[in-house]
Amino acid sequence: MRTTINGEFFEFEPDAAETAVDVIRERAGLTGTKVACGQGVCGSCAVLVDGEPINACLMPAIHMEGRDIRTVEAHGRDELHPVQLALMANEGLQCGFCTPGFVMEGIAFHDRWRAERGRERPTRDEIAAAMAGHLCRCAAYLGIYAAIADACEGEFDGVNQRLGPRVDALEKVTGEARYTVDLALPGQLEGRILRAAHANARVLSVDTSAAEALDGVVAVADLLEDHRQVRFTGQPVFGVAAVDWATAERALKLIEVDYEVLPAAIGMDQALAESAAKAFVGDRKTMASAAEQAPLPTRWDGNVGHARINGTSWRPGTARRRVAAARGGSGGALAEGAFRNHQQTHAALEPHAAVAAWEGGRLTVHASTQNVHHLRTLLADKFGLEKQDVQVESQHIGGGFGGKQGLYGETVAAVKLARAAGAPVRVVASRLEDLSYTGQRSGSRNEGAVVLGEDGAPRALRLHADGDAGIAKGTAAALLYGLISPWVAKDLKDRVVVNNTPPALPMRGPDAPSALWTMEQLLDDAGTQLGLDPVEVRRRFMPKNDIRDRLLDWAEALPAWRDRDANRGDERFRRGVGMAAASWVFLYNPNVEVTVSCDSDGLTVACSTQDIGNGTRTSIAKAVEDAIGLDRHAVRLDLGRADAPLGPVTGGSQVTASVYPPTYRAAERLAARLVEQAAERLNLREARAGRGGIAHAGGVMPWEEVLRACEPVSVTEKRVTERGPLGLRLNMSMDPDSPFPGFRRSHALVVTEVEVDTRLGRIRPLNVWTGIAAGRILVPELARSQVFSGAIQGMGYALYEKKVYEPATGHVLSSNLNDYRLPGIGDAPEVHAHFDEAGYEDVAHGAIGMSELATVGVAASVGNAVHHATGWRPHETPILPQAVVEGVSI
Amino acid sequence: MLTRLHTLAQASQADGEFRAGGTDLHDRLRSGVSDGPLVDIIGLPGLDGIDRQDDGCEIGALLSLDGLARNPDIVRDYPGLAQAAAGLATPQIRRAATVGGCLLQRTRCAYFRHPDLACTRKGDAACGGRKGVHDNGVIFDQGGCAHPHASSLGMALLAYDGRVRTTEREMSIADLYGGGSAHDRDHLLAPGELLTHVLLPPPAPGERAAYLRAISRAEAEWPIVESLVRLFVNNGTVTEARVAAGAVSQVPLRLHGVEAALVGRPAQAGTWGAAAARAGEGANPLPQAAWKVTMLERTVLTALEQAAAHETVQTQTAG
Repeated sequence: MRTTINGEFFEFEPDAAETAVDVIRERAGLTGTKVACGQGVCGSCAVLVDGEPINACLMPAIHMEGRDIRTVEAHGRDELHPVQLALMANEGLQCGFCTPGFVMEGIAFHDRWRAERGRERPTRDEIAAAMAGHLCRCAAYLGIYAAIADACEGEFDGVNQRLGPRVDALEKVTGEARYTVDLALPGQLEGRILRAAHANARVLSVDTSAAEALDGVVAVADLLEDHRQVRFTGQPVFGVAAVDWATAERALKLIEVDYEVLPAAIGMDQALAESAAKAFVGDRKTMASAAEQAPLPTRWDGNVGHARINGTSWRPGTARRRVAAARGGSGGALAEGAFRNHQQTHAALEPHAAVAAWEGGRLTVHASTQNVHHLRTLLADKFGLEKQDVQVESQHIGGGFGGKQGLYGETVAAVKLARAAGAPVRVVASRLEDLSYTGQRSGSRNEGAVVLGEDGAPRALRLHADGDAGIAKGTAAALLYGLISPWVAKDLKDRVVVNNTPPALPMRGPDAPSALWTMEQLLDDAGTQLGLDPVEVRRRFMPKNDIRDRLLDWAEALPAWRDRDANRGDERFRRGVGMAAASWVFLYNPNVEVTVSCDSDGLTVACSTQDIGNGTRTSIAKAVEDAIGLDRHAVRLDLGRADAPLGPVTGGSQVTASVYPPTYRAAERLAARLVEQAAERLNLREARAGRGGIAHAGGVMPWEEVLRACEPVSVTEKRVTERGPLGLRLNMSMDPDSPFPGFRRSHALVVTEVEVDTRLGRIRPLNVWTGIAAGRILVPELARSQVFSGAIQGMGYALYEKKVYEPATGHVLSSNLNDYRLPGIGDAPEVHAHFDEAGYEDVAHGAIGMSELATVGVAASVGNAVHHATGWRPHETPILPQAVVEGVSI
Repeated sequence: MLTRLHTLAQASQADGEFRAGGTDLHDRLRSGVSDGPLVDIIGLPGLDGIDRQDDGCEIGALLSLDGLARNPDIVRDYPGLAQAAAGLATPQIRRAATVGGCLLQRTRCAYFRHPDLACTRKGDAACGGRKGVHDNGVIFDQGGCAHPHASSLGMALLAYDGRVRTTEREMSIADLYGGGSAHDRDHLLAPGELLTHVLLPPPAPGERAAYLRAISRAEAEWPIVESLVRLFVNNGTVTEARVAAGAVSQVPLRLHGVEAALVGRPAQAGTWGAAAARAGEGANPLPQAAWKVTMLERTVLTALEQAAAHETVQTQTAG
C-alpha cells in the first residue's frame, strides 16, 4: 500500500486494525502527532488528509492509500506557518502535547479562511466551532483564539522568525518536542499492567504460565505489595512486557488470578454507611497520602479518620456556642449549610508514562514526571540502589497538575519489567487507565457555618470537612481553611473517609477549592442578611490588610461589578456576577541550586527541575535575560535530568520563586567574572557588565563575542532563604493578621460573570477577572497564562468535571474523554488578569508563586455568580444542568 | 478471508464487522470492547453521493456526515436533517464518519464502552447501568439496556419519514431500530446485511425545522436530550408537525402527543408550551434519569420556538 506523508511516498502493509496514527508514529517515526484520548475527542492526533483535518487515531490505516497526508513535521522550524508563529507569539500553548493537533487544525482553518474571507478577523465563535474537536488541558485557549485570529488577519504573513515569550515554544509548535511516550530506545518492549478486577480482595495466587508462553512475551513482573492485598479496582497486580502493545494486551488476558473477594466500600457514601465494609485492613501507616504536607495525626473509627489535632481551630467551643446562639436568633447573622464536591481528575493529555532501561546495576528512567530529582530518590529507595546509580530524565512533560509528583505504578512496572526482560520497557497508561487509576483531586462533603456580628465582623466559623481521597489519607480542607481565614473563634474538623477507590493525589491547590466553595458562598449569604454586598462583607471579614483592600477596591471599580444588578435580566438567560476571595500559603525551596556556565558556544543553565508546560525553562532564561541582557532564546537550558544541581518539584507554585533568584545571581556573578577576564585579555578599559554585553570605554561588546573570547566559566548559586535554611518550608516572614507567626500568604480575588440558561440548565462562563497579589511578576506572559488556565480549570471543577465510580464494582465510568468532560475552547470565558505587585519586597525579587492561587477561588466565585443570576444557591460541584433545572424555578 | 468488499454482492459472504469511517469502531477496538475480524466497505462504488429524484432523495451510506450537512440540496430541502448532521460530534469526526456508520453505531453507554463492565449490548445477561449509574439513561424505558440510542441522525430521519435500503431489503427507520426490546443490539440488521442507502421522501414545501441538542458545554458532547421539530404553518395555523426526540429511549422516538397538540392550532407561543408539555406523555423513566423528562419538555419547547422563528424555506422540486 502506498501513501504520501509530507510529500514523500511511503509504502507499507497495514494490519487490519491499524490506524493512521500507528503508521505515522510507529512506522514512519513521526512522533509530532500525538495520541491522547484515542477516540476522536481531543484532537491531539489531527493530521491533514488531502488538506482536511482528520483524527488519525480513528482513521483506518488502509484509508491512507493514495491520500496526501500532512503532519506537523511538514511545518518545521524553517517552514513555519503563520499559525505556528502566532501560537508562539500569543502563548497559545503550555505543555505542548495538544499543540501539533491545534497547529494542523489551525493551518487548515487559516488557509480556508484566507481563501474565502481574505484578511477578515474570524470571531471567537467561528474559531470555537472549527476547533471543537480539540482539547487543551492546560487551557491555553485564550492564546489560541488570539493566535488564529491574528494569523487570519495577516499579522504573521511574511514573518520568518518571531519566537514569542516562551523559550521552548518552537520545539512544541513544530512537533520536535519529545515526550516520554515518544521515546523508542533500541530493543524497547511495551509493558502493560494487569489490574485488579475487584475493589477489595486478597490475591491468593497468580498463574502467568499461559501469558509467558505466548509468542512475543518477554517478561512478567509481580506488582503486588508483600501483603498481597488489592484495595481498589484497577490496582496493579502483574506486568507483562512484550514486543508490542497488542501482544502484551493479549498476554494480560491469559493471566489467571485467584482472588479471595472481600466486601468493599466504593466511595464516601458507602464507606460512611452503618454496615460499611472495612475498606482498609492492615497497617495504616502504609496507607498512601493525598497530601503534600505530612498527614495529620489521626484517630480511626472504622473507615473514618478523624484528625486528632485541628491545628488551626481556635476556641472551637466558643464557635459552637456562637453558632447555636445565632441559630436561636441572637448574636448576628448566620449562614450555614452542607456542600459537596466531586472528584476532579488531572487528565493531563500526556498520560502517565515511563521508559526504564538497566545497564548492569545502573537504572535510567525516562518518565512523565513533575519531579525528576525526587523520583530518583524514590526509585533508589524502592529498588535498593545508590542514587548515583539511578538517572531520571524528562525533557518534555505533557501536563501534570499535581498528578505526576511521585513514583507510581507505571514507573514501577517499567523498572521491574525492564530488569526481568533485560531490555528497555515502555509503559504508557491508556486513557482509561489514566482517567481511572492515576489519581485525582479529593472529593469532599463539607458542613460549614459563618456567623457575622451586626457590624459585619466575623464572630464564628465552622468547617467540618469530610474528604474522599479513595484508599488514601491526608485530606485537610478545614486545616487549610484555618490558615487562610480570619483569626476568630472557629470550629474546624477534618475527617478522611477511606474507601475502596483509587488513591487521590494533590491537584492544583489541594483541598482549597472545596473549602472556599463552602465558606465563600456562606459568607455571601451571611452578608446579604446584614445588607452588605459581597465587597463590603469581605472588607469586614478579614482584618485590615492593604493588599486585600486594594484588590477589593479594584473589583468594586470593575464596570461589570458595578452594573451587575442592571445586567442580570429575568428572562430565560440570566446573568450574574459573583466573587470569591482566596489566599494561599507560598513556598519556595531554599535548597535549590543552579549552575550557570559558559563556553565559547554560549551560556547554559543547569538545574534538575523540569518544564511541564508551566514555563520553567522560560523563567530561568528570563532570569538570565533580566540579569545580564542576554536574549532569553539564546540561553541553553539543561533541565530534566536528576543528576543536575537540585531543582524544585514543579508543584506548590514554587518554581519561579525557587529558580529565578539563584539564576539571576549566578548570571550576575558569571558576568562579573567574564568582565574580569575580558578586561584583562582584551584590554577593555572601564569594563563593566551592561545590558547585552560588556560596556567599556570603546562601546559594548555583545555577550556572544565575549564568550568566544573568554575561557569557560561556571558559577553555582543556591536559592537560600531569607530566614534560615529549613528545607522546603513556608516563608518565614511575618504577617500581621496571621494567627501563626511565620505564615505569609498570597492573595487573590476572583470575579466571575456567568450566563445561566434557566430553561436547559447550561451555565456559560462569560468573564473572569482575576486579581492576583503575589508580588512582582517576573515573567508577565507566563503569569497571565497561569491565570488563564487557573480560571478555566476552575471552570472545569465548577461546571463539568466529575469522576464517577460504578457503585458495585469500583470501575470508573468516567474513563474516557466523552464521559469525563474537560472544558473545551468554546467553554473558555474571557479572563482578565490583574496583578497587584506590591507588598512582598522582602522576598527575593519581590516575587512569590501564583499558579494555585489563580484557581482555588474560581468555583466559589461561580457559585456566587449563579446565585446572583438566579437566586438559587448551588451546593454541589460540578453544577450540572440537572441541578439548575431542578433548582431554579422558571 | 474476505477483508474488503469490492461489490455489494459480496456482503452476505462477509464474516466480520463492516468498517466504513471507523470513528466508532476504532474507539471500540482500541479500548478492547470489540475485536475483529473487519470487513472494509469504504471505496464501494456509488455509495458516497446524493441522488435527487422526483420522488425524493437517495443518500449513499458512505457519504460523510459533513458531506450531508453541507450539501445544498439537503440544506434547502431537508433543513432539520442538515442541522442535525452539522450539530453532532466534531468537525473532524463529521468529515470521517459516514451516514451509515452514524445510524448503526453502538451505544455510547459508559458500561458498554468499558471493557470490564457488564452490558446486555455486549452479550451479558444483565445491564450494569440499570442497577448502577444511569443518570443519562432512558426515560421511555423498553427494558434491558438502560442507555438511550446514540444516533442523532436516526432521530432526525425519523422526523423525515426516512427509509433505509440494505443489500437485502428496504425498511423504515423505525423498523431499522424496532421497538427497542432487542437488548443485545443497536439495530436490527442481520449479520452480513449491509446498509447501502438512506431514502428520503420528496421535500415538503414550507417547512420550518429546528434541531436542538441539550448539552452542558458549548460543543462536542453527547446530548442529554435532543429533539428535531418540523412545522408546517399555513395562514397562521399549524397544518402539520413532525417531532422526534433522541437520547430518551433505547430507540429514537416520534412524539405523537406533541404532534397532535400542534396540528390545527395557531402558530403562537401558547401552542408551543401546551404541545411541549405533552413531550413526556407515556414516559416511564429510570429513577436517576427522571429529571430528563423535564429536560425533554423544555428541549422540545425550545426547538418549537426556534422552528417557528425560522423563515420558511423555499423548496424547489427536483428535476
